[in-house]
Amino acid sequence: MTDANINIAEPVYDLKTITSVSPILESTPWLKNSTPRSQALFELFKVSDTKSEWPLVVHLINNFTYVNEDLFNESKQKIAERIVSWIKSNNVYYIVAMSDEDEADGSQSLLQSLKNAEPFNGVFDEDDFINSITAGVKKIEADMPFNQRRNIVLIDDFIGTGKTIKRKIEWLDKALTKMGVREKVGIRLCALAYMSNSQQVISYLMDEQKLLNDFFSPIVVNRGISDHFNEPELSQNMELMKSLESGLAEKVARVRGKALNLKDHNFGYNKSEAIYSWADNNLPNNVFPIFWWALDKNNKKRKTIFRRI
Amino acid sequence: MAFQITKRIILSELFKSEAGVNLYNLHRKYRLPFNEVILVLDELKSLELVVIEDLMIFPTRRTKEWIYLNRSSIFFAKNNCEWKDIPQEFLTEKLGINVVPALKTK
Repeated sequence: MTDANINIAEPVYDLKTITSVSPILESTPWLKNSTPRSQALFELFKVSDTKSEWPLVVHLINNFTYVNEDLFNESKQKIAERIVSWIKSNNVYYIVAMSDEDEADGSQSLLQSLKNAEPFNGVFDEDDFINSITAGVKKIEADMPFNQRRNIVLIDDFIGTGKTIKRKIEWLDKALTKMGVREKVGIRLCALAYMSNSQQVISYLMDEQKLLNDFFSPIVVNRGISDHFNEPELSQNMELMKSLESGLAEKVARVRGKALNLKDHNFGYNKSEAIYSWADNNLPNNVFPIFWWALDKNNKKRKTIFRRI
Repeated sequence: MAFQITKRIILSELFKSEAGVNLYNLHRKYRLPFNEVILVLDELKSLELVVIEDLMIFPTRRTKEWIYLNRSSIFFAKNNCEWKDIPQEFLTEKLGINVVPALKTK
């Protein structure tokens, strides 16, 4: 066998690295099934070990919600069943991706997958699935005037802080009010996964503002540190994460858009502390940046477990 | 194919060894991606072909016999490139030597 035939892993790791990383690699299928991801894990060990942060990284990975194909199919089924349970015979329902009009995103990906969910068989037509919230409003507008009550079921792949859904639902409410049909349109929300602390925003939209009729999500994601530790471990782990993040570049340039600032993403966007990924889909910015931030503090490219554009 | 190479190396070292194989030495000597080492060991464990103690692996009673019986599929299997095979429904009649296909006319 020649060297050319051997799949070369660079670099070769020392014994301590192998003995420290292999237990978590062995127990985590989404890491061990991918050579680039496992190499990124070894790199993460190298930067965290010197500062004793490795146990925190192991804790985060052990509690990480990784939506693989099986979990996705199971969740998709639950979402579709819930939507069907909401249906009333004399109403019209539209399943609408939470996406802005011109941006491809995870909500559209989820919507597309939902189309052929078994519980929807014979319940919806292709036209009932709409790939942006603005197109959903246009659809309602095109239906006017109508007597049968309309229902918009908003679909999102992940709810982080809840700020985005609040903004979009308030926008939708205003748009429908302006059209004079708000009383005749119900708004419901389904997400593949949501952060536990976004529940406050959802409750506010449902119970206080009465903008949202129902909400359902089969997967709840707890905050990686705050929801797992009590004092004094909580403060200690917060400090360890700050120390880990101090090894990242303060800014990362994007291809054309504005550069990303680390200070906006410390502990994840809006300090969300998310530990969640839906397979290989674009990672939410709510996830701790140590898992996806592209550059280290010397502006050298990092091998990262996940990627995000 | 890369996974297959890792498997070949591990099995060939197991076949040669009497006192077990050190996984770290294997990783260093052959530069094997460690996740692939773990995946191969998962498979060998399920087949009861290996016993793992820390970073050492040991053959079981049936390991050598199993490797010997399966040697052709393990060590001599070629990458079949199944993607290169054209499905039957897309094949047409082969042209003969020095035959120029007739042009289609309306």
